[in-house]
Amino acid sequence: VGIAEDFDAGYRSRDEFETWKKRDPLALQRKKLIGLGVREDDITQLEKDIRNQVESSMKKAQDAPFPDGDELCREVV
Amino acid sequence: MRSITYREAIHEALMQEMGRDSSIFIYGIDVADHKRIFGSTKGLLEKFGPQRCFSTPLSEDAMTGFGCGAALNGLHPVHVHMRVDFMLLAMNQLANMISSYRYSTGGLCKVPMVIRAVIGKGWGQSFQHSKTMHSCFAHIPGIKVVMPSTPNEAKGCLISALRDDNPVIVIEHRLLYDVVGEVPADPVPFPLGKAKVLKTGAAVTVVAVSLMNVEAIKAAEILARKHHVHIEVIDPVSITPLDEETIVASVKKTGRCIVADNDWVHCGFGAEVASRIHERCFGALKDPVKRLGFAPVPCPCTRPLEDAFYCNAIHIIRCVETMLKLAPCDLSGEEFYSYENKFKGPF
Repeated sequence: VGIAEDFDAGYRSRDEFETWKKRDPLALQRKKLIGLGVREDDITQLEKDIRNQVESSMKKAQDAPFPDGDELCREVV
Repeated sequence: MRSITYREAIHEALMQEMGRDSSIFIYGIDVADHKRIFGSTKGLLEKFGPQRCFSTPLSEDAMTGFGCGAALNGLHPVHVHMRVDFMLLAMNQLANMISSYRYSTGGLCKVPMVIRAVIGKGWGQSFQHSKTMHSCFAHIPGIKVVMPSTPNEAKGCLISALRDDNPVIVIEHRLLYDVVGEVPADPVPFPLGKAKVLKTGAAVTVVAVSLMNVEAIKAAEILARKHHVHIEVIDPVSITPLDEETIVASVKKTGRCIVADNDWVHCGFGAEVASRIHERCFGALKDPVKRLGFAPVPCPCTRPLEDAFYCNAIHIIRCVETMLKLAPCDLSGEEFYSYENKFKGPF
């Protein structure tokens, strides 16, 4: 679902993608924080921690059993 | 007669009507991209050019207003939404503008506009890609709402919508796109406001909406085999205007009615049908009208909860058995969810 790196499909060109990638807000924010005096090591550590959290959450979800049907009506209101 | 898919039927209606009437143009998110709305707008850009077939940004409200303006000025726009859910962003245009210009100008202005929107189901569509909302749209005077469930009606309804000088919302179901059925090659309109009896029977009338007709037909087949009970399946096709006469005639014959909706039950289409039946068939009823539909929760993402959320053939079978005081039949060897399990995406 959604667009991927399927440039041959004609949805968008690789050039357009590359142009916008240069303005990736995450990369720009990283540069900005370093400019403001944040240590690069601290940013790298933070990125690593976030990645670990995402990966362990993914694994936890994949290993978990599917919910019982009686969970259907939980937390509606 | 030759058979084609629901997707091809929609596509053929667009091709033929755009060829007939140069005022028709089609637009919306990804209408002209490489996937062409699950193939339903294939080839339109190549045949009719970018002025009559184009993609738009994610801006449903503005784009609906744009269509309204085009319609007021003599064109016949077709606005496409890949999910009904996002039409809600355009409710101001729909409920306050498009629906009311004809009336408010004493008929001087008309808004001949078609809005196609697709219902999602399965594949983790969840609570933002699975709504139907037909009862909300049908609640507003000045808009026609149709929900074809077979290729023939998909083509015929779209042709009628494109020849109507009122706003018409055509709600399609994604899981119906691969359904194959007989469709005339010529453009044959299906009248807006006409129901279709998909199966005749004398035991119980089942009024089924959109994909629920597939479930109702499945239930009919099992009930006939297991209980020798024959239900009558009516596809209203059009929610507004509603073919009340076909439903009333059936219920007067059977004395029992189940409305199987593809929506939440509370304040829904089933309540409207039940009320009309009680008004017109009160003396003929052997049981209160029963409503089936979504569980009263937002649509869950995971398949086991989704299966509990949606109404299906099993619910219809059990409901008929309860009405007719029959013992529940053994369904262990039966195959259900055939459309969901067959679907290979992409969404």
